[in-house]
Amino acid sequence: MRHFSPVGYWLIGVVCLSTVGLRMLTWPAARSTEVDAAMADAGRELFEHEWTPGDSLAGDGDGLGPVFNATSCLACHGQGGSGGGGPVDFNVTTFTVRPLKEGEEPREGVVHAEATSKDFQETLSQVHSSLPPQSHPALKDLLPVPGCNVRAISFPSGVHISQRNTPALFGAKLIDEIPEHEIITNERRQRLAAGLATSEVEDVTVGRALILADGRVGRFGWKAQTASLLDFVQAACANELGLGNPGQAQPRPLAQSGYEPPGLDLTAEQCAQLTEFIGSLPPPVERLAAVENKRGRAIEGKKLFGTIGCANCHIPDLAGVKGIFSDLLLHRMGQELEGGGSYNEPPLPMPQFDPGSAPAPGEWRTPPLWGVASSAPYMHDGRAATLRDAIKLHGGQGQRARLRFEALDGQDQAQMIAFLETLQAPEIGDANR
Amino acid sequence: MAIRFDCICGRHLKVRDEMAGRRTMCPACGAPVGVPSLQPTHRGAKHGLLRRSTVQRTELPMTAISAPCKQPDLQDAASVRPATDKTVNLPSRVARRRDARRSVRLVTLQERRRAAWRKPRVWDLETRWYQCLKYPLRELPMLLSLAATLTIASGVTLLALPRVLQGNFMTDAISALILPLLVWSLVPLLVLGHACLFLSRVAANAAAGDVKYIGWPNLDSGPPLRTLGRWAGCFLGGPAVLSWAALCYWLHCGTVALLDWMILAELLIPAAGYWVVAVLLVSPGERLADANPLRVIAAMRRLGSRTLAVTALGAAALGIHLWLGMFAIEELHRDLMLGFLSLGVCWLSALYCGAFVFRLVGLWHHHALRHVSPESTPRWAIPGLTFVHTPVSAR
Repeated sequence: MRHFSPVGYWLIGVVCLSTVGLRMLTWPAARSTEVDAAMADAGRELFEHEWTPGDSLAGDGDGLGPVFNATSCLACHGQGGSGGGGPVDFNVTTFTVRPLKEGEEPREGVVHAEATSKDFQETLSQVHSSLPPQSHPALKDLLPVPGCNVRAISFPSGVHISQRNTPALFGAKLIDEIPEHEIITNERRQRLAAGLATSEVEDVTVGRALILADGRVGRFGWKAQTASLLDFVQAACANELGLGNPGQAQPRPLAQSGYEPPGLDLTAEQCAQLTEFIGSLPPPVERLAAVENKRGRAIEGKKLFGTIGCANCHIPDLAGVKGIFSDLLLHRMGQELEGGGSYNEPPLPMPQFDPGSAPAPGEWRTPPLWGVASSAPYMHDGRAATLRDAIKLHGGQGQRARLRFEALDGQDQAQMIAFLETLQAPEIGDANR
Repeated sequence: MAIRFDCICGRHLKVRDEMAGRRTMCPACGAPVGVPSLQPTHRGAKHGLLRRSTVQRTELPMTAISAPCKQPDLQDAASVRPATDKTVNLPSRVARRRDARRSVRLVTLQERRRAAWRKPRVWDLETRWYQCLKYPLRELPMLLSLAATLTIASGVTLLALPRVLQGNFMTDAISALILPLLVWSLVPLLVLGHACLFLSRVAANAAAGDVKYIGWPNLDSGPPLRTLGRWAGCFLGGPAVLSWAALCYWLHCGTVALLDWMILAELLIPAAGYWVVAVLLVSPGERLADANPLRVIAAMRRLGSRTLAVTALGAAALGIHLWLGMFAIEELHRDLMLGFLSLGVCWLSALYCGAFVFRLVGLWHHHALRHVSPESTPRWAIPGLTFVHTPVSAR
């Protein structure tokens, strides 16, 4: 019987320790940087600047446009102060077109509300000829009439139109600094708790982290399609203001897809300044009432929030970020909340996602609930005017929590709403956590 | 002539022919052992713990089958078992009465063929590793039954448990399910215990160098639950630490890269190898104390370089079936039919691989015990065994 040589044991030990050592060296360090005040001030100026075509701050580019939704960041992100959310009037209209014939490519994009000239003006009819020539349809025209599956604007086959409400930007830096492995850890915990079910099931809460084609984990946007705050800022500048930048080219008008801008409107430093300003925005706070009985109701409401299952997705703390009330994962939310395609269709294959991993039409990132009391309306397109309406719209994996909320008596429901109303936007002077 | 047979602890025993069918004690482990009978004790009786050479020597022509309490057929006086010396001097009426009690009847050719078919096939002890691949096929009906019950039990549990745990315990309807759930939770444990018992018997059989048929389990719930407890004890006694570390690392490592796979392998492979050897040591004597780390290490030293093969086999079997199992569970949540089918294939494959691995490792351990000298291994390292060194020429 041959016995194992001691040299073999040493060799095995060295191999084992070397892998562990290599992993420790390559382990991503926690990012937590101080806000650069000078950069943040410069970013504030850019954030509040009213852009015009050929703007002097636009560098080599064409300035605002040629297609845009607003003339400044503050125009949409102004609810409760710079960096807040926006009303339904400033919703962004998006479209997706699935290929119906062999050889056709899928398309998705934004139908911009404004243009620098009539030649560039975009309408729904440029997406599909059967759609009306509207640039900014009303939200109610895009939603099915309650009780039947008919819309005021009917979508042709393969085409889907939906809107996106402007989210608040408070606490974005804290979200940006959450390590990717913490989001994936959350996903795996949910899968273990759900018996290794995948996120495709709808009767247990199990989300999934969206892994982009470059391997990064998405965390910003209604569908978690953006991995970092810088990418989010660059995409917003390009898509909403028509300001091309190193991270994202400005969109070409639907009517003139051959349009070429003369150069970039924003430099990398300007994008970094904007990002630094948004990062300087304090996170929302949980503000309990001074009156004892109101405070007690909110505390009871917070307990109910966890008991009935809301905290399965809206987890209170994530990777040391307290009070975020989100797991930053994609969850299936039911047919009523479809967006980016019809509910039962597979995700649209787009280059920024690996094949098959793009967000499905019914999947949405769990929005952070911090500051929810100050960011009405709610849901991805602002269709819910109040918190109660938002809860009642939860379907799919959120249906169980909704049913439990509806089963509560009036007093318990009021307590839960009282708790949600303590999650308010920061006041000027609230320090970063 | 002597009857040679093996005790369950591995000791080779030899007794006189007069001891056939009686009970004695193994001088090594002190356990009571039954001496095999030289003749079939009843119709369809299988041979006991006999070696092939002994079986061949004691095989009798199946020309007469004793059927108690039947009328004797006096025309077949020639087929009656010849009287012993003790009966020669008995009065004829006593002899006739005895013959009547031991009634013998004619054996037709059809019955003779049927008896030959029922005669258990004698298997050879495997001498090559690939011959162990045939061993689980002998137990195929049991494997299929175990796989089917495990599939149903595990599938229903995986589907129902998360949904109930996320249920609303405030409503009476859901809380009324708690007690049935607690009762149901015993069912998968019992089924899993039967699977562990089967594999333990395979391991014990192999460690004894035996080729006997495992046999179907009875309805007694004690042995499977005790076996499951022993397996859990073997797991908690060593592999649990490495497995817990691997689980925590997988939870927190983010997107799994090559380095992460290597670290997970470094944690899980030794855990799997340790567990296989621990279960092998526990199975013959059914004592959890036999799986203490010192004995496991001593067993690994006896196996020598084959320890690596044991570790690799155990880890490969566990890893592949964990991956298959996760795929099957995901399918279960998407499509019930395909999910149950995948789960069934996974369980069947796992039981087959488990039987193969334990058979192979058990035989290696059996050969290792026979080759090692008594002086090189302390008595405490070998569970309950005081072996006799048998020279190769004597085998």
